[in-house]
Amino acid sequence: MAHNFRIRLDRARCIGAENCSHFAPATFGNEDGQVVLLPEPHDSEAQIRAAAGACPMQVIHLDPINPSKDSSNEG
Amino acid sequence: MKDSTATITKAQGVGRSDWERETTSRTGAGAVDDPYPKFAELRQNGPIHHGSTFEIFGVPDPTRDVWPDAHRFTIISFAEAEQVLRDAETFSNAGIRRMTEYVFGPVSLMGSDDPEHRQYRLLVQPAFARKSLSMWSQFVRPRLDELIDDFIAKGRGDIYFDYCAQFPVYVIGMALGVKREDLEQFHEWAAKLQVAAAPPDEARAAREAVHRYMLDIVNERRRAPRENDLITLLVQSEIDEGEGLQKLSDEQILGLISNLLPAGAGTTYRSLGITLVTLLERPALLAQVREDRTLVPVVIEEVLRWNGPVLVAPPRLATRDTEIAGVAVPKDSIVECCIAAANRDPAQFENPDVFDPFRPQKPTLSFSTGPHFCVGSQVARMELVTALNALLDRLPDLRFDPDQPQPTLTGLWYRMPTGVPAIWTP
Repeated sequence: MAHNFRIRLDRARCIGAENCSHFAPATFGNEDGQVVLLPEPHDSEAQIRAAAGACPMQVIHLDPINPSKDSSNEG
Repeated sequence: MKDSTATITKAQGVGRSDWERETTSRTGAGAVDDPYPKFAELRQNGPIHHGSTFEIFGVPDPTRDVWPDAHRFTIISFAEAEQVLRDAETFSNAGIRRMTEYVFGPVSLMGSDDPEHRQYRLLVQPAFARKSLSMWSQFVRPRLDELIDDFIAKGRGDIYFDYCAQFPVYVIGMALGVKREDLEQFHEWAAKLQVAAAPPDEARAAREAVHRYMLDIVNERRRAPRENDLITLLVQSEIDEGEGLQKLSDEQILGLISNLLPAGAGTTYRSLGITLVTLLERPALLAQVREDRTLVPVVIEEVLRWNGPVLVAPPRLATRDTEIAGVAVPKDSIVECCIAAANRDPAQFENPDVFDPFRPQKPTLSFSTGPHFCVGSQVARMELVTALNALLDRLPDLRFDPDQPQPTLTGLWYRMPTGVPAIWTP
């Protein structure tokens, strides 16, 4: 699903609480006690934002995807 | 402030015994029924209140024994509560170790800071992961069915005491390897190990009794490890405390068990009781949930937000002079994040006082946040969902008993219903 952000995980700080997969079960999983991105996420943007907000350790970052170079405003 | 304990005291039988009554009254049942109007009033003065949560309601503050003169602050707002709970360097948990040592003993997940806390936390977390849920769930539905079998023919009863209060400790006990015939005794020890639920000397005695009992099981698992077993996981775990990886000592394992018991013994059954009262008060919603079980977890999440079992997070101690929402908080202040108030902050939730399971899903502080986020949240959610589903399956026309006074929600340290007197067609 195309969202206008990219999910970045700070796995080193993850405590494996799995609150993210409670909110966005088709996006976040758990491997060896730490969060992983699932291969084909299909949660809504609202779910993913809720998951990021609900992460107790704030390890889920949603980086806005920059507009492509062509349309950027170079002056 | 009216006395709701009277209703509870009338009850009799297992889970209604003296220690249950004691637990209930010591944890603030009857002292405060509806704290929410007071929080709304305080919120008018800003996100932080100078004074402790207990004292807001005129109830003696247990931290006064340890810190008679410390500044005390209660956080009312969602954003600031989140900020404090996440900033464990400035707002330390280690401060409350002394206060809770009689319950948790020398190893304290709740009463320690990282890196010590993180080591133990990461060690036990796998036992509570979604992947490990069967370690717990294998005992849940069979226990629930057994309880329902016991009372279904009667057609009426108080299902708070006969159902809700009768399974979480049982499940923990079974997962720890407690023998069936000892579960009653184990239940009593566990009840005394809820924070603030029993006088310190009784809690200490209960902790020692649990340790003596569990030591045999720990030794047994060292000799003969089992698959999908909590104690086996602990005896096989390793921890590095500066001298390389080493197996956990008996003392460490027993310490962790003393940490897990209080957390699971006092919260889940109260949440289920609150959920049942909330649904029975709303027959149309109850009917809708019965027909569409995908609503079960949604309702439970909203109950946890709207009237969760834990009013206030364990107090934090400020490690330096700091500031919260522009208010100066001196070093060594006690800072209490009021989860109940934060979960009804209008800045976070629209019409926060309305119970509305259909509201947009948003993060809550029901299981706290930061490094001390509830380690057992997935198990608790699974237990609540399973227990509500089992009732909907087997007592489809469950409703309040018209011959009993309608229960109220009450409590300060823990929130709970005064009971769930109900009738059904056997």
